Amino acid sequence: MPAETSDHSHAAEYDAIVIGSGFGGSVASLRLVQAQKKVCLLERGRRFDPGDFPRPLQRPDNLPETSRWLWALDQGLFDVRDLHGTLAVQAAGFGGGSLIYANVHLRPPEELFHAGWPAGYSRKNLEPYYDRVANMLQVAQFPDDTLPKLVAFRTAAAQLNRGDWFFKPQLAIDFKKCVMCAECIVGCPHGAKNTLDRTYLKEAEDNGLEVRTRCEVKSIEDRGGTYFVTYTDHFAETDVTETAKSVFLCAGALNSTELLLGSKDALHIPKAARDRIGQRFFTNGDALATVFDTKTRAVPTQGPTITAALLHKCGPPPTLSDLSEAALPPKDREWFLIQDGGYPGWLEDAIGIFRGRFWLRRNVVGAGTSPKVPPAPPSLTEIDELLRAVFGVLQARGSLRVQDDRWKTGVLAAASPVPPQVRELADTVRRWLLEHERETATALGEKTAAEVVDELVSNHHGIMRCILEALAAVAAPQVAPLLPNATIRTVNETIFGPGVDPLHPLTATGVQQLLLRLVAATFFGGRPGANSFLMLAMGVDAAPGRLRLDDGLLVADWDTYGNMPISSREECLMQDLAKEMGGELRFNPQATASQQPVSVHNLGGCGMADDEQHGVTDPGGKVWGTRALYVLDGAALPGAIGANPSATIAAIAERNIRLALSDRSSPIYYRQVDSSWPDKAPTPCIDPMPRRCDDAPHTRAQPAGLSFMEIMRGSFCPNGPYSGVHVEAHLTATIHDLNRFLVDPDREVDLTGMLVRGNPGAPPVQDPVTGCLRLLRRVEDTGRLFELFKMGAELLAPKVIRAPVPTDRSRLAWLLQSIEEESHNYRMDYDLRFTGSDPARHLLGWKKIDGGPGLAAWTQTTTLSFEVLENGATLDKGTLHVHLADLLGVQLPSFKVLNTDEAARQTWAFGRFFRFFFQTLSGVYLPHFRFPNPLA
Amino acid sequence: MEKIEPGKRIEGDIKTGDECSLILRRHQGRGPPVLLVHGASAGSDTFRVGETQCLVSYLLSLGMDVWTLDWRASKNVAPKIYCDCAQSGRQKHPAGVFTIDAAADEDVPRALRHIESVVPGASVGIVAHCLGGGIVAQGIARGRIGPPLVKNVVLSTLGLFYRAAFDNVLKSADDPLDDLLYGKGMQFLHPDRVWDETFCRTGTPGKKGKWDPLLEVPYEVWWNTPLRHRCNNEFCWRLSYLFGMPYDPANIPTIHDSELPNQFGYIPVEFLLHCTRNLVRGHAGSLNARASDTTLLDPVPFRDLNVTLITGELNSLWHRESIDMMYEWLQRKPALGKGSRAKHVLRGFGHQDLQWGVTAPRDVFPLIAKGLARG
Repeated sequence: MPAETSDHSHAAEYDAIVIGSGFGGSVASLRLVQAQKKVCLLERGRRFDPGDFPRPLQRPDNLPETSRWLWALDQGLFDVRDLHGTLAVQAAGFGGGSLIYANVHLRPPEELFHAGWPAGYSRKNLEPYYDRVANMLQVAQFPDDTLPKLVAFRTAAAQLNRGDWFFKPQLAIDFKKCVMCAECIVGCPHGAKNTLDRTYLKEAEDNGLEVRTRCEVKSIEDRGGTYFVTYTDHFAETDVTETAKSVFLCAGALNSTELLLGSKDALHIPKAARDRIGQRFFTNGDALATVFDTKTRAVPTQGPTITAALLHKCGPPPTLSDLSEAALPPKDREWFLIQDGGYPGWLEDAIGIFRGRFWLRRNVVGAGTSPKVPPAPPSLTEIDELLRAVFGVLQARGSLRVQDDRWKTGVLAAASPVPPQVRELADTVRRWLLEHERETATALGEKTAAEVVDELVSNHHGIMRCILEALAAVAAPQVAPLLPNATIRTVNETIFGPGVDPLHPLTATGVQQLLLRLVAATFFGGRPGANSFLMLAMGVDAAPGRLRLDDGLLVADWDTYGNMPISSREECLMQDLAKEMGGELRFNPQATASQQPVSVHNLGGCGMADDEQHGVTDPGGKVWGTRALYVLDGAALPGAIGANPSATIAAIAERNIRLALSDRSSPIYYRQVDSSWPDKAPTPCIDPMPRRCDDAPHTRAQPAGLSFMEIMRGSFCPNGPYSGVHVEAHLTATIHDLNRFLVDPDREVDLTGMLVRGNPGAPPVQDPVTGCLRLLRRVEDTGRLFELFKMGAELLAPKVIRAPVPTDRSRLAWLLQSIEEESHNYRMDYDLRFTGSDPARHLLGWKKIDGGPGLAAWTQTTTLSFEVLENGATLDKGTLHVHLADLLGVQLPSFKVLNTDEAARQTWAFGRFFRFFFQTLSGVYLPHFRFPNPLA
Repeated sequence: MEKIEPGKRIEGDIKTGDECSLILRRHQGRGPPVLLVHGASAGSDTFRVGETQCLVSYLLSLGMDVWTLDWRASKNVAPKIYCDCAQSGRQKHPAGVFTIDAAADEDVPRALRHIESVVPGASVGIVAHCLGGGIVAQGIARGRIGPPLVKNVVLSTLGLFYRAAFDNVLKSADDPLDDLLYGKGMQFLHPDRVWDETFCRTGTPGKKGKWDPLLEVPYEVWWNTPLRHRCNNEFCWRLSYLFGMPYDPANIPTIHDSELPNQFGYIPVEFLLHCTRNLVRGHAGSLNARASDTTLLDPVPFRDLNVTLITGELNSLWHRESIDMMYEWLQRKPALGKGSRAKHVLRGFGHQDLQWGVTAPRDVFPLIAKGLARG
């Protein structure tokens, strides 16, 4: 619909438009109105008073009012976005993330700012701004040291000799009002949280801030120095445009980046900075896990969401300079936090999902935990009632829309709004069921599930067979473990009760009950109860991601492997804590089993930098090349900060709004900004995080590793001192940390073993060796690249036409793909030291993996050329081969996963290793073949 | 249960500009006048019944001069208005008579003018419930109601934003009322009676019976869901199928068992149709306005009014979202002048029990009284 545009001939309506009311937007709004500016705040979410936060339905006859829950439904509180690479959870509402955050105010360590941040940023320089934020939000430490979950956490930390790294962070809570209901993360119904709408924004509104909630900004345009901001007003679903001299983009890392990506061509941003939009996106190392069945009561449903934190540090935190896009974070730089978590009692069923059978323990990680059989699934009366109500409404609707009884029974009534083809198919299925129901139910009553499936599939053809096969493939792995050897009759009686009519599952009520039971049994693992403990981890991501628009949709390119090293270290410490608590550890299934990180701390995308080549904004948050477009939220952070980011976002916003107002060239210049503005200096606030403490102990749990044996046989060259002597290598390869190995460009594997030499009949000589193997290390073949570039240049030159160029794509794309395919060259380098040798001897060996037809794959991967060096000089040379019998008889059976006794985890580790191995080789030998991603 | 006698009926009733006769009654008190505006399908009786005390007697106890209006969607006047139209030959189908637009423009403003003539110089407070709130809010938006005559308005459960449970939204989107009204010529719906054109001749209500199959068939499917209250009261079931559960039965035990048929009656299909169209577009609009028509969402007329918004947390007829949105919209700068705003979402209350509930005199009525005493 056309936008209602303000009169362009007039000057801008506002001095500033602030987009978003989170930590950045609130700070900016208040300071701008204090500087006498006319400011309009546009917030996409709604206002939430303490009694307005969404809660579960209270009565079965009261269909839930869902609109306040999800942004996608009707501007509700939670905005859950599947970015493909990651799953983001963020708040939408007046007050932004403060409405549902865990109130934690932490300051990242000083060392984090040492590299990668623009000039002027240091912990020391930011301290006054942190203090100002802390004063405004009245932070304080949790006063009660006897809270069960705090005691459980502290005790476990002490038992792990980590007491010195345990601390209570500052929380923005009014503890006089707090009733310990653990509802902080779903909006405090008691007004005990010092949220932004009750602090910064309240003061700003009192000072003249004009607030428009439920206004979702769609685009920003710079027309001759005036910014035109177009938004959808969700009250009336109309588009409106407002004008301002300056714009403050504070919509959160995802939304700010999305807006800038969508509007970048209308904002006069230099190309270098434009190209940086979306880059350096971080999830702040977020991870979530629950310990079930702890020895002592931790009662996670009591207290504020977070009360304490445990710092794990090994060296200083990784800095941005450590985190070039492809680099591996140094082993000696680990820095992350584990915090206790809490949730309201009514969310217990949802937490039970962590140990639901659906995951089949895929979210149990590593040794040190002892998975237990989950209790019987809950009855879930409320959900049962709700589902029945929903089904009923849909059925009634079917009856309403179609005035015959074709759709009256069964869930197929719900299909009435779907396309006619699907309706026809559903109708066919239903007719078939009706025709065969009695016969089927009677005939199959005593058969096992597997027999039933086989019979059903084999008796049908065409599309029905396809459908049945697909259903069997999806359902069998889930159902089989639940009901082994069950017959239709026993299944019926298990689900519906004894003596049930065999036709019952084919009735509408039966289908509804079946679905509910299946959902309950599959997903809900039972309430955790008081003997459980929720943990949250956050740290510095190892590999930044990238946000981009894909056909208008924001997606994140996220390097799951690249970030495995940090997440696996977090997992190890969580395992240690779980073991001390005596419980079973289950990770967030979405993140661990599905390999899609879930983040509530999305950061970056419009990072600050000292020049436009390296960032989107200048160090003050102003987008490069623009007159007065600022990014003052988490999007502007150039890197992850490890700690809960709210305090840092707000402190940087305090700093940068001050800079913006004191900038004489800015249209919002305010001359009265001096050291005493806007009020007296803030009272310094104590930061309880241990700062310059020693490194924490290593975790007891270790990440999953892998080991295997390799036997190679061959001989020395004819011309050396060992001329023609037979030689064998019996080696054990060990990958200590599989996650780290997979992102290590050198792919280092530890080797130990024996070199055995000697001719037949003579006693063999055994030399113990130790060293490393660089497994499938990529080698750039510059010669080929040069040739390809040369060919490309010819190709692209005018008047040159080459026949083989495919016509269905651009020549450049074809060329780039050729280069990509041709540059896949790898090596396997062996570096072995003879441990008992004097003088010092080394064996240096290599396998060249550079492609070729026919048996090249076998030859190249099994043939090792080697040199033996003595005191650095070549002593002899030779060749070793892997024999097929050794490969099949020794090497493959020897593969084992280390540090875990979990079958599912072992399968997972094998899968990842072999996927890496064969995918790499396929890139060399089968360049047009794409391996399916087994983790997807 | 308290049930009080109707107040004194204004002689000759009052006639709107489009010649609809409305019933205005007065329970005279010494204090400031307050006009009570009921919801559709109900009548002014709504305010004269309560489990422990009714709103009229509560306000009278505060000394207020209480007026009640049976406006055109009242069960007490709607059939007669229809018959008058039909008999006078003005319109066979009273298209446009039973709309929120007509009620907003004519009914409450006409009643206010009468009260002003009786109590000159007084500021009249308004308490409007359900669709009564809808017509009052729309009357304000269209500039028909407002200062100086009216300063304090209490809107109960509905204003300009229409939000209901998804079953009602689905029903609305399926347009069965269009078929009933325009296809089958059905003018009125009743929870348990059929509409009979002979009403205009005989004055007797239709017999008890089922609805047209267009409603009856889905009702029978719906009957098996948990949405049906587990009582034996068919009137309650049909009422809650038509409108959404209009109360928490536990809050109104006596009224639920014995009084419901006296409290709800015929509702003009055209009026219900207008409601469903507002529900589909999410906000108030003229009967045939397009979804993009936001003419009525002009906040300026609300600037200097004191508006109190009340609803029940369990309201599954008009979801609390209707009031949440209204409140939030009124907080926007152009809507915020000299007037004040207050919102109360009452725990444990649904919709009609805000007026009738056992604890309504303790939990709800003081908030209404406070809303009438602002400024």
